[in-house]
Amino acid sequence: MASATAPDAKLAPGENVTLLAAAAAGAAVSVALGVYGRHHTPAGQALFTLGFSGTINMKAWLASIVLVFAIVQVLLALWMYGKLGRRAAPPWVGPTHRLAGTLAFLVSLPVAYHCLWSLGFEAHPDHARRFWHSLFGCAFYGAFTIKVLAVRSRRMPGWTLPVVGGLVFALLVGLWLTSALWFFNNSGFPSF
Amino acid sequence: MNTLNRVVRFVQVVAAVATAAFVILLFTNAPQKPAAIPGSGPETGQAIFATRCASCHGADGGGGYGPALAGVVAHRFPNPADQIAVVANGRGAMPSFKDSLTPAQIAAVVEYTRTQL
Repeated sequence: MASATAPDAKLAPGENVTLLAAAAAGAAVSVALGVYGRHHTPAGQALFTLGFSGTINMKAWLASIVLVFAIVQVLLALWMYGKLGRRAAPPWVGPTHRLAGTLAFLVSLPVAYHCLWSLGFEAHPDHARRFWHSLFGCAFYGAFTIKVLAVRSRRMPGWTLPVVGGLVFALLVGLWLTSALWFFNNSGFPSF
Repeated sequence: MNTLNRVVRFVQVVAAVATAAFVILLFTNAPQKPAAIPGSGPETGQAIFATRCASCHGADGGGGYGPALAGVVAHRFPNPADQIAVVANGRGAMPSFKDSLTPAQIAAVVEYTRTQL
């Protein structure tokens, strides 16, 4: 934790290799998702709707739940890093932080599945919202991969986790803005 | 704390299994054959919309991956023939339906989107 609160800008021997390997793994995940979405023939169907009136409605709500979990995770991370007041984070904050992140990832899977399998990857920049949403989606899972590897590794610089965590959160906000917020604006709220 | 850690571990295992299922389903799940469409009658357009259009345009036509249709499509296409051409031939990310729907079915779903949504 000390290395996280006072990050050292210089990389120790081996750290750069580990960081590059994690970045390469994340990039591979992003590219793989994009290639699948681009070359898979969109099914144009829903596998399930979980009681919602349509696939889009389900995805908008699940994405919003993911965002809530992510906000909780960021707040707990700030607490762990001593950025929320002077009181040290109690012991339950760490596990709860991990739980919120894992639940966010878990809830995001049906959304991503329906995006990729049912709709595919929008590669044409003229369809700006869908284009950026597709890019954010692929980048999100790549950044998430790097974050998971950073959490598990002791051979990465201290700044990796907060930086990559911030990137994951920023991409998720971008995803939500280009999908759920857009949907609620067009269809009204709550639009179950 | 031990209970919380056990819950975290359990959810992580569930997430790992779900990720594996996610990848497997991406490559193995074949699209279902669309439900049969009534040949004629007022329910034809509604049935086509529900099975072919709603996944992108929203169950209520309010939009989703594709643009909103409800209340706006007749203004966007004052001439129904223009909308029929888009449904038949596709445009941008929208697929062509001329090989999977008859001209009468395309006309029925266009009529439905213009008058019933």
